[in-house]
Amino acid sequence: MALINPKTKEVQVKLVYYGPGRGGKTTNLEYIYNKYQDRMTTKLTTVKTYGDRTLFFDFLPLDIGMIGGYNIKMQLYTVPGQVKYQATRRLVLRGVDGVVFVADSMALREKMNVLSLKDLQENLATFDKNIFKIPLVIQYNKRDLAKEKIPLLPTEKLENILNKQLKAPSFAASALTGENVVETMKKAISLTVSSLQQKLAIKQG
Amino acid sequence: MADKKGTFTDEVNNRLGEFFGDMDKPDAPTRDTKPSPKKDLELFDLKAIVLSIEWEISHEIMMRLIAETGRLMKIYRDNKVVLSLLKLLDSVGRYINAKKATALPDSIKLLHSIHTNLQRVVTSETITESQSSQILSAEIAKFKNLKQQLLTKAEPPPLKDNKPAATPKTAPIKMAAPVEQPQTSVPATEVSAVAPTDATINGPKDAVLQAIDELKKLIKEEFKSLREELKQLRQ
Repeated sequence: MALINPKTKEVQVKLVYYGPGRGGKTTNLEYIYNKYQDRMTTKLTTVKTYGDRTLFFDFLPLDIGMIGGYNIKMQLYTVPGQVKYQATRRLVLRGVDGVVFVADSMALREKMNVLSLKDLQENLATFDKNIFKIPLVIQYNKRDLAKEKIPLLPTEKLENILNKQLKAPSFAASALTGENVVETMKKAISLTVSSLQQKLAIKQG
Repeated sequence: MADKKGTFTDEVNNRLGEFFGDMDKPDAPTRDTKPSPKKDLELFDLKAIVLSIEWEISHEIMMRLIAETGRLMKIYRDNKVVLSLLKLLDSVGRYINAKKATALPDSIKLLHSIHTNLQRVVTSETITESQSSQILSAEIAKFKNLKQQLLTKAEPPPLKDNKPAATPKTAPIKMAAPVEQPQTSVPATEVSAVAPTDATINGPKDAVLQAIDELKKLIKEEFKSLREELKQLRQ
């Protein structure tokens, strides 16, 4: 649950980018940071060591300003996608308010996308969170590889595999070129903040 | 923060629109040089293999990489820079094939770096000879850096009583430098990751035993690779 400080009228919202390894989660944050760094007061923190892979997590704080009389501070995180970093993924998901699932569009990653989504569902369940209820946006990344003639899964098929039941908003994107990167994030922030507002309204009223 | 649902969502979206402004249009993919489609196709299989390595380092994929670099070496035998880059790729590929998951992380980085620059040199129509040579020099420097890391990793830790450390007669991993360092001096690109240290090594004896063990494994794997290659050639 988000951290709310009624005295300072400040809300800290945690958005986690989840997905299989090498899917482009870090590239999403890097694109956002590079694009808007002049509007950010802090830097993107990336812990990349072993073979340039995310070992712990990436962290990007984003102060988006006043909404509904509250100063909204977004905290964007990524998790290490590789299967073996299960404990770290779970740790990063603690207190999550919204999720962006970054799926890899490459045909040979089909199975890994499914496994990662299941992994997300299981890890959310450990914190009593339901994947069907949490604000979730799905991004079908690496669409730019089609130009390179790399076999990609059609977005319709990806929708069918990953989003048939979830029915989450989804975007075909390319974290490398920036296509739909900001749209994905905006949608995720919008869903998450609106969901928090609803929860608070229910509690207050 | 309590508000009506519709108006609140509108307010959120408006705020996001204001914050991200008109800059949220995607950048066009930037390329410093214009690629040649025909040459791009020549490297297509290699690119697919390198992308596969990102995901899984299996013997099959590594053998495909070695076979593909071999094929390209024949095509580019008259282009010294491309041929040297391919030889570098082949050497690093063979090392990764031998060590698989225990390969130094920098070796994967280097493989990608060589591949990216190979593509740049081959497909670009505007790149000059001097630029190509500089790229090659930088890759060679990285390769040497990796070799140094391997040697450092293989060296036993110094003895506490200042006795000279016993060194194994044979180097644990051999990586043949495929090309001579060109005359152009290009600063070596620093490779950030540090070779992991083995906390289980207690003395020179252990280090020698470990080195011998590694060498045995390497020879076994090299033989296996050679057998596979011979098999493929016979077919």
